[in-house]
Amino acid sequence: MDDLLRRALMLPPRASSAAAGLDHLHYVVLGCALAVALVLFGLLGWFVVRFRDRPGHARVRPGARSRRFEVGLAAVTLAVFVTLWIGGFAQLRAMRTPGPNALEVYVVAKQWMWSFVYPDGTAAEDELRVPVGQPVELLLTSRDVIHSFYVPAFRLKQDAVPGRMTSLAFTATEAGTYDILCAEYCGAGHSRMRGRVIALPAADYARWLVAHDAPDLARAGARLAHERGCLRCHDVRAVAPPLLGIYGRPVPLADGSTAIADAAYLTESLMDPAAKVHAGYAATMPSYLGQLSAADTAALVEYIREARP
Amino acid sequence: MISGRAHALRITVWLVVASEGLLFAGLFALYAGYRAEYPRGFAEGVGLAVGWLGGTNTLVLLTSSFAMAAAIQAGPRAARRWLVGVLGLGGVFLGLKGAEWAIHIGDGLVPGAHYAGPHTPGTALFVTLYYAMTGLHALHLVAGLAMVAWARRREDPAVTECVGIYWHFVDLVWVVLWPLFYLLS
Amino acid sequence: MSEPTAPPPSFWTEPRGVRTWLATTDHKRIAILFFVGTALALMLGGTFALILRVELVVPDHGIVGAHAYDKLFTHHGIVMVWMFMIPAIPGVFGNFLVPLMIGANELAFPRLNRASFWVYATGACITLAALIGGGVDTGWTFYTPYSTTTPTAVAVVCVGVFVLGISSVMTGLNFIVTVHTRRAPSVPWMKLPLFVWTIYATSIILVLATPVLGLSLALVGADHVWHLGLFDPAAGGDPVLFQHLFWFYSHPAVYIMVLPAMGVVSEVVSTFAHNRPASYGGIVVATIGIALVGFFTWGHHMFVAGMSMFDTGMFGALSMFVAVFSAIKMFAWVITFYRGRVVLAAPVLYVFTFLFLFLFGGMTGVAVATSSLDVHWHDTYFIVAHFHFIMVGATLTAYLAALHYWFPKLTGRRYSEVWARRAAVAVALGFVGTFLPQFLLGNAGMPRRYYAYPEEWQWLHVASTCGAGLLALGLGTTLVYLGVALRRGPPSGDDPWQSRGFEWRTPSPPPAVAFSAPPVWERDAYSYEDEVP
Ligand code: HEM
Ligand SMILES: [Cu+2]
Ligand SMILES: [Cu+2]
Repeated sequence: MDDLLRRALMLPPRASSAAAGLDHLHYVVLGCALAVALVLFGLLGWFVVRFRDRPGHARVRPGARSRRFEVGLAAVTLAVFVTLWIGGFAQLRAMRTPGPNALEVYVVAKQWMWSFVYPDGTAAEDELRVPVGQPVELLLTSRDVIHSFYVPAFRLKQDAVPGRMTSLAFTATEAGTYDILCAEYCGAGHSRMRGRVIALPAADYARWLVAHDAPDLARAGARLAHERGCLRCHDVRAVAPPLLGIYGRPVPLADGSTAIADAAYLTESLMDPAAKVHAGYAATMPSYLGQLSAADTAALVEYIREARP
Repeated sequence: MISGRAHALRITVWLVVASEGLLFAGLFALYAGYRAEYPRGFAEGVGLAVGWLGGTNTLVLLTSSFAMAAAIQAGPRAARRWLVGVLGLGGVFLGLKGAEWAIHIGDGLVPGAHYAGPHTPGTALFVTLYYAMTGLHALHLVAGLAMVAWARRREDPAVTECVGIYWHFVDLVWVVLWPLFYLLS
Repeated sequence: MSEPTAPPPSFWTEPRGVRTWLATTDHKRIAILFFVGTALALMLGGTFALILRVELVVPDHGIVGAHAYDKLFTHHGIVMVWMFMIPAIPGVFGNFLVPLMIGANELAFPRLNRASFWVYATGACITLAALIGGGVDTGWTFYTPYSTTTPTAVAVVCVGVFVLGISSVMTGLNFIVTVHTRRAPSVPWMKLPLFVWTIYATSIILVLATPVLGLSLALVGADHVWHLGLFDPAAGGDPVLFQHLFWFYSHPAVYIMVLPAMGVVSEVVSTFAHNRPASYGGIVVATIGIALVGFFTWGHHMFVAGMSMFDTGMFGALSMFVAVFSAIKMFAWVITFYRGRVVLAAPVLYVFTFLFLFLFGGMTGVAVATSSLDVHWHDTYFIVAHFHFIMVGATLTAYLAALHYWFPKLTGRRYSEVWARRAAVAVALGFVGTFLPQFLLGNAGMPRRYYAYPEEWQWLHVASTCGAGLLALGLGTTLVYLGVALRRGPPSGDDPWQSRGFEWRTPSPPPAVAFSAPPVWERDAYSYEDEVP
């Protein structure tokens, strides 16, 4: 029955923990709409036939208005709508709360592709691999205009907004390959900005993790940036300047002068952050002097350089 | 019993004030949003303001509002004289405002690609909003001056009263703009 | 064959001459001018839509390229929203009928009214010039930072729509002042025809919301030219703030379109049921309620833009309140038929279509305000179908109902009822045929504004395009038989529908000056009680 309805409504197969609940609420709302339509249009049809103008049609005085009836009807309607709203809102809360130990993946959208960066520094384009059954939290942003990450089989979407970090939580429930579509109009390539989510059984995912290419320098940097929590501050604009795209750019300093964000500047920022403070940000960054090996520092700098838009 | 025409004019002017109020409200919303996001940049922006010009202009406009109130209270003849005062003070305000813009532009505080002011995040936005909001206000002041000139010709107490309501509104907007761009650093 | 008799003098012929038409301050003539303007806009917007639909018959590489496609849907939206739907009912029927319905010869400010038409025409020309000389590809929503960075004619279009907005404010202001100051002594507030109430409520929205649209478009235009970066994150701006500003106008704007449509429906239902509207008071409260609460629901367009849970909840809940007000009206219309004397004619057929579209449009509105469901449906064809049902469908069917209901009032002539019924059925089937498949496409996950799509969705697109063809056929037919009726229709008499509405108590078509003295109307506009023995 459930499956029949799903197919009749053209809903795609379900592949996330949110999908079934959403579909069921969808049926409820649709059911309400059809019930109301049936009653109202039934009445309308009856009135039109019964009271149509015809020879011998004798008019009867309509009953007096009853305010109790009118207010009651409005109240019942409101109650139904509010119930639906409560159901939907509760569901949304649950959907937005990432499960325990969520796997965090950074998603960067740009015209017209999706890139994914995993905690270990692995990067992939247009292809997101996730383990079935493990909660995942995507952290999304965009390099140019607004895009929207949409997986119909998961029934989920979230805008990727430049200059902001948004998030999307899900747990894949069925192994398989599902389309990623861009749902926010972003220019001529909008309808071709497609990718794939590949949900792998946990064992296959683990195997893939080890098997994929050894990380190169920039990937190692990305992994480090992740492990050290750099991105926790550096992608939320209010706390620290974003790292993506900063390489090679002039940086306004708190003392009014300007520096170029080259390798030297970046290394100095890592080791002695207070020396040159980016104007407009508090000098909250800790020093990593003695904590990062030369190789790590190089990897981080390389990562920032590569992350140029 | 008020005449139908006076009634119509009064409703019209309040509708215009409401409509214009929402126009400014949009900009105030932007200001509030960005000030919350970049408190330092905005404080630095306020620091760039030419304080004495802003203060003088506030005095000028407040005085003009008093002149306007006096014009409404006075008989038609005296009203004409008070309205000249309003026109003069409005002119002074625009002159000072122009001087202020000229100073800022001279300092490289221009919105957009040629902005050469401080690079604290948010300051450039502050400068853009400064021009947008004081510019829009100045446009309203020009419209107000045209209306005052018209009221002076008409010598109709209802017209004078309605133009007065609009003038007070333009004045009130400035009284909100003044702290936002000159005081709250 | 009898010679057509010369029609009696009316506003059509006195005074004579094209010049008098162009310079007219007569609300009836301005209504006709707005009719010409909005009808042309409807045809132009419809042509864009047909090209879009034909393009989508094939999954990829149809008759136009991706970039042309982006411009076409943008132009379609801009023309339909600002040049057709917003001015359609207020500009045409509001102008014509509000004075007649309150016993006035004029709007409060006739010259302002004339200006509002010519400002509309100017804005339309600027917009069209920009569309022809380059075009825009931002979508009618102008989302930043795409709109501030695309190399298309954004700034000029912003100017054009800004000017159209000025016309809206002028129209709205004029109606409000008119209703306050020009009512004849026998038309107190609570005897106002329901259509006047909806025009009044719409005018409040026009006056209060339009400035915010003007502001946001002015900022986008300026940003496009001078790279201010107000909404561009690269310069510290926030693109989502633009969405707040835009929807603060554009959600109330959907009620600018649908409230007058509701007013038309209230009038038509009462006349063809020969019954007093069930709950006049309820409808008035719902009308004002929609206008006011409609100002606080804009955020439901941004549920997946990164809004907080709190905001999501509030905007969802307030949307439900607006839906209740809409439901109250729906109930009242249906109950009005109870114990009436129901006459079936073309206007009421359009109203049946309206009720169908409005109910499912409204319930899909409730569905998307059920915030979790919107996560799947947002920015898909489901939304396209939702707002075409409720906003476009409702406005269009009410516009057609109004046109058929008041055609005798405007022209003093009758049209072919047979053809009118055929066209009404074609429009109904065509409209539902176009947009029902789009609900399913949305369910399946097809995002809107897609030039190319996966093949498995093709049959639904083909079905939708067939529906659009039928719709176009119905509208084309309407144009023909109404055109014929305008020249050769038999005289209709002053009140062909035996309505009690105030507007029918003047000659049809009305003379240039409808009332020589303020009318004294003892019975209100819905006084059908005398039909009951
Ligand atoms: C019954 C009450 C209604 C409710 C609860 C409602 C709710 C909603 C919601 C939540 C959305 C946003 C969905 C999304 O973008 O994902 C939406 C979109 C929309 N609605 Fe409604 N709606 C209602 C009635 C109307 C009416 C009466 C109109 C027009 C006359 C209308 C026109 C629109 C339009 C134009 C859009 C989308 C515009 C766009 O994105 O381009 N709605 N509605
Ligand atoms: Cu896109
Ligand atoms: Cu809305």
